[in-house]
Amino acid sequence: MIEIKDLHYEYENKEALKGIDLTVSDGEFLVILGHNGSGKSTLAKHINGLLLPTAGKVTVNGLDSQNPEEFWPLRQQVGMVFQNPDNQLIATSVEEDTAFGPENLGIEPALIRKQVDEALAGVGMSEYKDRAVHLLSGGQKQRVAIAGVMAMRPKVLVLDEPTAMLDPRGRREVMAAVQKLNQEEKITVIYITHMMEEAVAAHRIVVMEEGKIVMSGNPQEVFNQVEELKKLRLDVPLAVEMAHRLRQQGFALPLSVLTIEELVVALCP
Amino acid sequence: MPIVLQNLSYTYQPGTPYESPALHDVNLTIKSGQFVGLIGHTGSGKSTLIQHCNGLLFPMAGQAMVDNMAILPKSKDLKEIRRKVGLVFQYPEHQLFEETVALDIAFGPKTLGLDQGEIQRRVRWAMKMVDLDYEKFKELSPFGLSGGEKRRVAIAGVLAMQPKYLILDEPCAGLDPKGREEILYQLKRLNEKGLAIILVSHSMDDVARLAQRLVVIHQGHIVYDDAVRQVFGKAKELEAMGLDVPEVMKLMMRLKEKGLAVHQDVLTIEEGQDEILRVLGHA
Repeated sequence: MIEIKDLHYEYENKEALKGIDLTVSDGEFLVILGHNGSGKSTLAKHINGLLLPTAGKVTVNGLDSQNPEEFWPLRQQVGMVFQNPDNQLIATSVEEDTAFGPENLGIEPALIRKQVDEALAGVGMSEYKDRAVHLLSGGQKQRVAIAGVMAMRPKVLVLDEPTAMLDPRGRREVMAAVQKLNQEEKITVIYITHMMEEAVAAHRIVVMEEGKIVMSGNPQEVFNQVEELKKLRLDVPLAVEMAHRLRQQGFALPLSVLTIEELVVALCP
Repeated sequence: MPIVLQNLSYTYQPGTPYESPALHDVNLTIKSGQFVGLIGHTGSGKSTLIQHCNGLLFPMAGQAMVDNMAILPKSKDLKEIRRKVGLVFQYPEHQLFEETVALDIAFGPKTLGLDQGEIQRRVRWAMKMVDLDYEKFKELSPFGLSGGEKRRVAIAGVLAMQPKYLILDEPCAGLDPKGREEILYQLKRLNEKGLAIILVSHSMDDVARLAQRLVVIHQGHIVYDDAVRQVFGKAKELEAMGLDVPEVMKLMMRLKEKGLAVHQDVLTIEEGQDEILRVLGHA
């Protein structure tokens, strides 16, 4: 469980986080939305101790990021993946790159072998294990970056706009891999995105604005506040927007419509 | 007077074990004032292609011309070609470097040897084009701005060269939905003022809304070059190439499969809404 209590963070005399209270349960898929500069990435970096609170507290499974003795165990529990896969891959082959993390943890070779194999299988990249990293597509590179983190056996995966630079297929591949890790391996996922279609997969969405959480709920609760989201420089998935427009024209469509498939069923029962 | 790429081919590191062909026999003409979308998966050759349009790369076979000036390594026209064809790279805000917004935007025009008055006039004009208030922003450090604002400063820097063609590589990547909307709106407005625009994007929704013509590149070949509606009609083929169709088109295709007599070649949510209302009537 991740517990964030009254978290404040200041840099250069600016308050980037102004009192965040957030609890994330084991196995949850949490999406964080918010415009550029709202504090999403700053919050994410507190979860694995890349940033430490100015005030307040962050704990992961009871480990406190501000306690020097608990800092490294905490880091091992929380893996982070960023926007640009090219900045996150270091070795020449897929397998070597995935092994980099566990090797640095001093794990014995036989166990590294096992963890690397399992991590690559988890993101559907086993058959590419001998491939040169620079010859992969964007989606494949990003999945290798995720495997590199998963090989260290974290409990929590924090992804900061992992699909922002990818083509449509790459986006589908990465999203499918993350959902599978969440559903099958029960990894807790914290996923930052500007792509509203991706946020629909979440158990819960929190929306940030000016360093605070201003909205929280399941995708249906959050996305049906169409006007409020637009005021926060955000958007809603196409199916939600279309349902909203059709309701204004008198159609009785359920508020549970979030995806194209659900809208199709509602319109053609 | 257009940009013309004729039978153009390009290979990276030829004659080495790392030889990798990037473009094969590409033919493309971009006329002034057009709004062209360019799509293709990562590694398809998009970036190699756009770098040929302003002489950052030179063809290994075939030729590239801008307004009748050939793009050749030692051409005296290269400076003029690079001024005419403005290129905005991915994450252009990483290239900001000056102390103030106004100085950063003025950097390009200064290299043209213009007088102070003309430089100032261009800086004001470029900032107006990207909706940055001159008085409010001119003295600010570009590094203190938001992501979307920084990107607009970077685009203004290219606009201040007064190009005739503007090529943008993923100008909306990493921006929030409103920031994305602002950039797209400004591109539309610039195009209406006569600037030709080539928009490289992974967002099918964005090119559907803005481009008149869509070019699809796959494994170094141009596979489609047609009106946007025509190209998005090839949904299966696009998906096989790692691409996609706009979300609203997916909705219409699914409704059609379910037996609703809607037209599928819909590019915007407004068109989609009208089409659903036309078929289902007002409830």
